[in-house]
Amino acid sequence: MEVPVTVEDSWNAGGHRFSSRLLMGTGKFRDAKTMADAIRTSGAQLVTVALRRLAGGSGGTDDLLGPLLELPGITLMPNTSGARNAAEAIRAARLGRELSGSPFVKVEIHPDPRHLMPDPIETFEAARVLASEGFAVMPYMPADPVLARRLEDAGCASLMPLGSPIGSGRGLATAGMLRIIVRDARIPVIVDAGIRAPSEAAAALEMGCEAVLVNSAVAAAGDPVAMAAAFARAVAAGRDAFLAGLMPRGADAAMASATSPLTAFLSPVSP
Amino acid sequence: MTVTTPARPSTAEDVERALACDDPGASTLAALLSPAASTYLEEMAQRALALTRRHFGRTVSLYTPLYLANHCSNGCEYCGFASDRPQRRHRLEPADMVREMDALNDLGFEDLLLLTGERTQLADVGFLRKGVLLAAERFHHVGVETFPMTTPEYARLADAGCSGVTIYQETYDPVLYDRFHRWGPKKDYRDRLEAPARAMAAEMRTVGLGVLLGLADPIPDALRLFQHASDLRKRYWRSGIALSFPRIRPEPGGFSPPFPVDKAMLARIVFAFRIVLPDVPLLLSTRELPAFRDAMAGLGITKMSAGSRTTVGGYSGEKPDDAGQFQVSDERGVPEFCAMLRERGLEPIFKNWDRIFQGAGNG
Amino acid sequence: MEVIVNDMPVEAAQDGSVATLLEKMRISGPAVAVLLNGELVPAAARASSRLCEGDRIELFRFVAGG
Repeated sequence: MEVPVTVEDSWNAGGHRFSSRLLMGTGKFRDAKTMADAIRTSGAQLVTVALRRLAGGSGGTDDLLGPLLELPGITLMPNTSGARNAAEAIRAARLGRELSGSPFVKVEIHPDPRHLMPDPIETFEAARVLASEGFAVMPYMPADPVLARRLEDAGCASLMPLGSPIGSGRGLATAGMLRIIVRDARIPVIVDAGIRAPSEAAAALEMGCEAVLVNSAVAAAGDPVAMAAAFARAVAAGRDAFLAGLMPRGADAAMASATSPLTAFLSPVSP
Repeated sequence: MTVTTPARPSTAEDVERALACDDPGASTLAALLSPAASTYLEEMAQRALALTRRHFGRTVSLYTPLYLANHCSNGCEYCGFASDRPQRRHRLEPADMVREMDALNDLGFEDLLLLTGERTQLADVGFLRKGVLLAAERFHHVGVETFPMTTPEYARLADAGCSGVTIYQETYDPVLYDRFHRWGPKKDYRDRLEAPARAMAAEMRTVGLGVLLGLADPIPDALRLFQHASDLRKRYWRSGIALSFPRIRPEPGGFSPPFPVDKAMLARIVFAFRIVLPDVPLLLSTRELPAFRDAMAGLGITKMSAGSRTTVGGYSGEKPDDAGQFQVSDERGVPEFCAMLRERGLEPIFKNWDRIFQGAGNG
Repeated sequence: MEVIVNDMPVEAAQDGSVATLLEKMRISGPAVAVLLNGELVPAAARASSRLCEGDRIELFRFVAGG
C-alpha cells in the first residue's frame, strides 16, 4: 500500500495549484454580503461568475461582486451561461477572459431551458476551440465516459460531469458513470451540478473526484454561511477518506472452500 | 509514470483486501503477487473465474501464429531464431504464404498472427505488408508480432489490413534486458518500450504486451507490465490491450532461465492480472503443457493458440527437421483442442470481429 | 455622431475612440469588456479603436452566477 507523502494536499488545473477542493458559484444568494461571507467560509479558491451586458448602458461596478473581489486568494472562473451553441460560448469565453485576466472558463451550453442539460456536441466543439486558444477549459458535461475521453483529448484542463440535473438536488445519480470517468481520466474530475447535501460532496471526493462545484446547495440553504462551512468540512473528510482507502465492499470469492477444486492442477504431483 | 514500490511487504490482510477490492490498481496487483498471497491461490482462482465469466462468458478465442521468416540479426540469448543459432534461414514467398494460410483457414482459424525476426533486407516492412495483404483476404483479424516500427510504418500495415500488433518487452529490467539481448537492433530498450504507443498512434485496434517469464524477477516485471498497459490504455483509449504470459520452461540443453517461474506462480500471475484488469484478454500459447492449458482455459485465460507450428512453413511444408522459435509443448490438433474446451463447458470462438467494419471512413 | 451602446443610442464625439466613449459614459476601464460590431476590443486597443457613425457597441460585466 502506498502511503501518501504529500505534505500539503493540493491539485492542479490550468497551471494553477489549488488547496481547496470546493469550488463555489456566486449565483442565487440573497445579497452580496452573504455571498462573500459564504465563499470566505467555504475556503473556495476558484469561483464562478457569469457575464451580462450592462443594463441600459449604465456604468459602475457590480454591487453583487464588489465584496467578492475584495477577498484574497480568489481566482475567477467566468462561465458561458446563456450560450446555446459553441459559437456563443466561445465569444462569451473571450469576453470573460478580458474581464477576469484568468485562463479559466467554465464552458456550459444548455440549449433546452426545461432541464438545462449540457449539449455534448456544442460543448465539445467550444472546448476544442478554446483549448487551442490557451484557455483552461472546465467543461460542464453529461457524465459520459466517452465524451470525457474526447474532451480530455481536446485539451481540457478538467472534466466537470454533472452529478444530477442542475438544480435537481438529486446528488450523485450518475455515480456509476462518474466512477468510470474518474478511473480513466488523466485530468481532474470535478462534480458540477446536482449536489444538495455535504454528504454527497464527500461521496464524490471518496470516489476519487478531485473537487466539487457547489452553488444552489449553499445559496439556497437555510443558513448559507453555515452550510458553506459544512461543505468545506465534508469535502475535506471525503478527500481524507479517499487517501485513507475505503474498506472493500467484499467479493464473491472471499469465501473459498477449504478444498481446492480450481487449483488442484497446480499441486506438485499433478503433471 | 513510475512504479511505486510498496512501502512495506504485503501482509495476509493486504491480500484479502486486494481480493475484495472494488477498484483494483497497482497496489492490488502488488499484494496479489507478493509472497503473502501464495496461500491464497484458490481464492484468487475463484475470483479470476468469476471475473472471466462475467466479462467473457464461457468462451475462449482461438488464434494461430504463422511464421513468415526466421532471418534475424539479433542475439537474444533465449531465442531459437537468434543469429548465432545454427538454423536454416528462409522466408515464405507469396505462393508459400497462400499455401500456409489456406491450411490454417481449413482448420477454421479467423485470427492470424504473422511473425518474423528482426527487420532485415529479406524480411522488412514491405515483405510483411505483402503477408498482411494476403492474410487480410483470408482472415478477419490479422496481427503482427515482429520488430518495432515507426508510426507511419504501422499505419502502412494498418492500411493493408493489419489490426493488431504484439510486441513484448521481454523484461522491464533494463540491465537484464541488455544482458540477454546481446547484439542487434533489439538492444535498444527504449525503442522497443515505445513501440506499442507508436502502434496505437497508428490506430491499431489491439496491442499485445507481455514479459518473457524467466528472464528477470517476475514480480517487478509484472508490476511494470501493468503500469505500461495502464498508461497506454489511458493515452490511447480507442485501442484495446491484450496481455500474454510466455514462460521459458527449463529444457535440457536449452537456455536456462535465471528466474525460473513454476506453474503455480504463472497461474498466480494470470489470476492476479484477471483480478486487476477484468476486461483485458489474457493469452496462453502452446509453450505450456496440455494439462496446464486445459485448466487455465476460462480461468483468467481467454485467448489461446492451438495446433501451432513455430517453424517457417510448418503448416503445409515438408521441413519437419527445422527447429522452431520455441518448443511447442501442446501438440494437439485443433479439433482435439476444441473438443477439450467443449468438454469443459467452454465455446471455442474463431471469429470475434468482422473485417467489414475496418476502414469505413469516419470523415 | 450616434453609436449604439447595448441597444441604446448614445452620442459620441466625431473621431472618438472606444476609450473616449467609455470615459464619457463614466465607465471605469477594467470592469467592462467591449464588443465593437461583434468583435472583442481588448483593453489595450480601446484608445486606438476609432468609432464610426452607427457602430454597435456591447458592454459586458461580471454578475453573480454558478
